[in-house]
Amino acid sequence: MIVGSIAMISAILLAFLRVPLAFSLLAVSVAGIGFAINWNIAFQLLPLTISDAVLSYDLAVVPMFILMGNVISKTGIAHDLFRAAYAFVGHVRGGLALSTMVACSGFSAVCGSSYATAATMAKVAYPSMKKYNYSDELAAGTIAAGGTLGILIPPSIIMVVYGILTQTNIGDLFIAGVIPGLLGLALYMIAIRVVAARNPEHAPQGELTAWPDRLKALSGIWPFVLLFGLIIGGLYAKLFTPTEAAGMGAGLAILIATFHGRLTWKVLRTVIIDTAYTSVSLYTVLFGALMLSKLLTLSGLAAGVLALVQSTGLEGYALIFAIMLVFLVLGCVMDSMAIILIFVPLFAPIVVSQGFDLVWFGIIVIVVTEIALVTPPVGMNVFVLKAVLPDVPVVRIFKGLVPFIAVDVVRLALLVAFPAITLWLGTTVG
Amino acid sequence: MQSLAWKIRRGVETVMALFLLAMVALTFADVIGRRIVGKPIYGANDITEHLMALVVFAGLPLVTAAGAHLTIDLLDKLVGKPWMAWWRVLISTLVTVVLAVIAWLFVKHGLNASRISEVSQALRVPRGPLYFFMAASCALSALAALAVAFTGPMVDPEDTHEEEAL
Repeated sequence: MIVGSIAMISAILLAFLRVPLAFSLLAVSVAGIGFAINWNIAFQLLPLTISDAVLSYDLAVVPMFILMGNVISKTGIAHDLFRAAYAFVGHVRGGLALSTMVACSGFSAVCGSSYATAATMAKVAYPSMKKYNYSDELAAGTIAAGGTLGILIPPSIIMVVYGILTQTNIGDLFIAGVIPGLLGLALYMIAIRVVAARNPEHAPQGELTAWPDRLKALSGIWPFVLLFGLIIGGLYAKLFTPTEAAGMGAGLAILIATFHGRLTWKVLRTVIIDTAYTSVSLYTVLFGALMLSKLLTLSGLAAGVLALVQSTGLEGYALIFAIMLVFLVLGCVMDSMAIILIFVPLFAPIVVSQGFDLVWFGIIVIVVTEIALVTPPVGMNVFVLKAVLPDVPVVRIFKGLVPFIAVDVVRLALLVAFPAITLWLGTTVG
Repeated sequence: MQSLAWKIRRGVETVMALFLLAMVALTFADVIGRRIVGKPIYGANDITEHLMALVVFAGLPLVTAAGAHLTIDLLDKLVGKPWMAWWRVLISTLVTVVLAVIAWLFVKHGLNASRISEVSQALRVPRGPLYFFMAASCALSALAALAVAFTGPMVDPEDTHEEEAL
């Protein structure tokens, strides 16, 4: 217990002092198990844990979903989604922002990354909003908030990581993310409407699109319909496992991109190498996190924290509330992936001991993570956006995000109060 | 020396890309074979697992050399100060030591696997050589981490790596 606590604290300290997260976790976990149990076990567990993880078929979902998102973003799918959404809602007040939001959620459904969603949509939607004199606050806020849907609407890389760490079925997590994701979209659209009604000069109307043009714009999104139908439909109907869905998705994305004539071998090579780099760094931190969770169990820290929580008399929703608060505070200073990797293994046993569902808790954790992505001082999405739009001051982006963060909190409350929102869809699966 | 390092890196990148592409093609073909034609590819899961291991451990030295490991950069301003140089050297040393230890443990793991003839589930591929490959990759990564301590990361000016995992 004492060794475990010291180890946990030093892992976090080292990570903050810029030791790559994977190596701070690996070093501290091995040393911690060495001191708490014995060095022989520590040295045996390390290669076993790493080879088990790297030779896991379930985990192979990671590179293939990342590849799918990276390839499909090269086909201009974000443009097509935006154009189709604009054709239908562009003419209402705040229409461009609403279209951006719809396109963000559509893009999220074929891409598992919140950064990629925000970066891609910034390039696609920001110039249009600028052209129609949208305020920077609303334009950038919409894109940064819309990007967070990327990790909630399946596929989602961070859900895969959560699933691996808690041994929760990844397919179940994906299905559970659908309705909370749509709820998020609906609430974001309400937020845009409210902002547009209060400050009409922030969000001028676009042009009305005639029906024939609407249908034409709609026909441009067939790759999206195909991919989304295949992946989510296939997962929902239990036709494929998540890894199979990812392989199908990546393969189909490559075929669609080739069909569009936008994929040369050179582009494909770059995209695949990018994907591999991201996957390798993700696998490495995952090795660290898996070792850390072994340390938590072996050193008795997990049991100790559980006993400590029980002694405080915190139970049920009060406990969930306390955990969410911890995640929100951590979200202000730490990268979201790091929070999930370090703290989910610590909190998951507590949540289970209280009889809560780990799929539901996973969605809650991800929604909290989404909020962390857009809150200062380290709202990662804001910095991704800043990199794409260097002229927009960070403060204005954060200012524009306030209404979205407000509805995020509402959504979080709804999801906590009504677990059925998250779990119902899963119960209808064959 | 630098240009040789880049040539090696480009070469390994291509091999890694081919492994990943093969993995996608295999899964695609396997699912179509199983769901449509009713003929799955024997041992497809097994091959995928091996390909994944090859991708990850071909990539580990590259990611280490490129300094692309996930890092919390909240206190970058502090750690980047000139008087913190000793700390940055210490970080590289720690990374090198961790990787070297993992390399050594995988050599032992590989020897052990060869001794007990550990094989994969479906295709009965011996595990020993794979563990030795992982050991070699970790050893190379340890060297890369050490080199980065002196020369700085191999950053590709053309490459932004903006597609992150989150």
